Amino acid sequence: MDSYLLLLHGTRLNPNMSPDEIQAITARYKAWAEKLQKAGRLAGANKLEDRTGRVLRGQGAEMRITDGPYAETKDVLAGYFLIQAESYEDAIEWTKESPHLDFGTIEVRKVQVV
Amino acid sequence: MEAPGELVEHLFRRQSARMVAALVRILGPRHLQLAEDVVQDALLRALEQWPYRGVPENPSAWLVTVARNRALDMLRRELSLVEKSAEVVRVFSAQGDLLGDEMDDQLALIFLACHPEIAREARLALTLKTVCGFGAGEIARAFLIQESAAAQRIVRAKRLVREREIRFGVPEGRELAERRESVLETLYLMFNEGYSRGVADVRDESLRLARLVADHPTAGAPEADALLALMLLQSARASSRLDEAGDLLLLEEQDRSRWDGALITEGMRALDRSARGDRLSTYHLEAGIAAAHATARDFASTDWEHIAGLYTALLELNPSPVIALNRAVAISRWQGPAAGLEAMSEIEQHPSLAHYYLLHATLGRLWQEAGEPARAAFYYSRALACECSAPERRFLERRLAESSR
Repeated sequence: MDSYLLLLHGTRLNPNMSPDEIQAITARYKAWAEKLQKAGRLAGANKLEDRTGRVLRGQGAEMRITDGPYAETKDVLAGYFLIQAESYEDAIEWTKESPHLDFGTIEVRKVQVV
Repeated sequence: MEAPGELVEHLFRRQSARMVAALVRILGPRHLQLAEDVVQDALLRALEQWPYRGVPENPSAWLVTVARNRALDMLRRELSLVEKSAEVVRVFSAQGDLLGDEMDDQLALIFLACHPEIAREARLALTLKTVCGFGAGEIARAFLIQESAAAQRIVRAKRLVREREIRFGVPEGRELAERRESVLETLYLMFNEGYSRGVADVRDESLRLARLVADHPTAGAPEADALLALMLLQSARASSRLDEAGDLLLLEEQDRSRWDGALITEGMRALDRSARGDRLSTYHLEAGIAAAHATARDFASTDWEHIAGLYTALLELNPSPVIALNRAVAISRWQGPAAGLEAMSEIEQHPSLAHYYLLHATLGRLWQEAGEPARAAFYYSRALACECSAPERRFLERRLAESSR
């Protein structure tokens, strides 16, 4: 099996949801992650900090360090999951079930073994 | 007790209500909105973070810590927000539980949300939002109003809390009786809305809050016990009111083995407690009526004379045409359709009942029993011209068909 990185972009959440509604969505994410875990497919996951980030360009004296990339785009990278899958098709089957697709997009990238 | 890393049902709702109560105690009722914002923020952060690393071992404690830190951040940034901010910052920074006694906090919040100066419907909306942790959308759906209307009521109620500088705490002395009355009235309204519209969540919350009030050493009172008894005895029959198709069943058609014995026992105990003291409230009488039904072995052994007497006493305390209508029904069961029709003659022309389907439906039944199906059909048709729910409509259509046969 190979490793696939799932990049979870953007989260359009309604800030006025009720506590029950927020809990219901949280429970859906939990169920998805637990299903990956139980199947032995979950290799790691992390949330990335909101509103921070640096982009480096150039070298030495020419180097420019800017905040971002969040500043230019609404398409924030919110977090990632690293999963084990047989193929892209298999990785997509697992990703399809993520509740995140209701609130944003998921980019699936195969980790290349060199 | 919650299992580590698990999300028990309504955890967020319960925990947000507790946290809001604790924050309002510390910050003061003026900052109810701030308290709710901070708590909402904590819930949204849980949603953003827990998917990746799992639900923390103790989710409740996690939420409290995040809400506390968020409140502290806001206070440090805008110290002018709270007058006694240095003191408040000290309380927030201190180790130990932010949450105080759950009962006391919740009860104080109930008294705040049900303050008599707030309009009745706004009181109800604020209680559901702040004390019970419902969202404006959920409140709107339960009461069949627009979400914006529900939100408006809540905003208005909060503004009143701010303007009147209502104190946080269970009132004492002379103030207590008046404030309690307002609380009980709100809970009664909440129960009726939840019960009649079949919104179990709302009904259950009204029961939970009524228990809190009734069980409290100073806030409790015979009227509170009576209201609790009324809610319990009514709820015991809730599941048998509709058949499998969702059609309304009459009392005589209900399967009494489906009534909830545990609720009836608890209700009768509350009714016993309500008999201490010498005050007789409308809740006592309504609970007495519910008890007479709940304890009758079958429909035939219902003590209608007793029930008619309770309705007569209720009518004296609360001269409402709807109560008079119910009294007439009890009299007809006790003394027959002719006596019932006579009692009806006093209210038949009451303008506020002109479009009330139950008035016409009752007249229909009484004429049917009096052996005049044509008149019965006339009144059932009138009832059908009134506003009523789908199960009620189907019920009336069945009756109309029977009387036209």
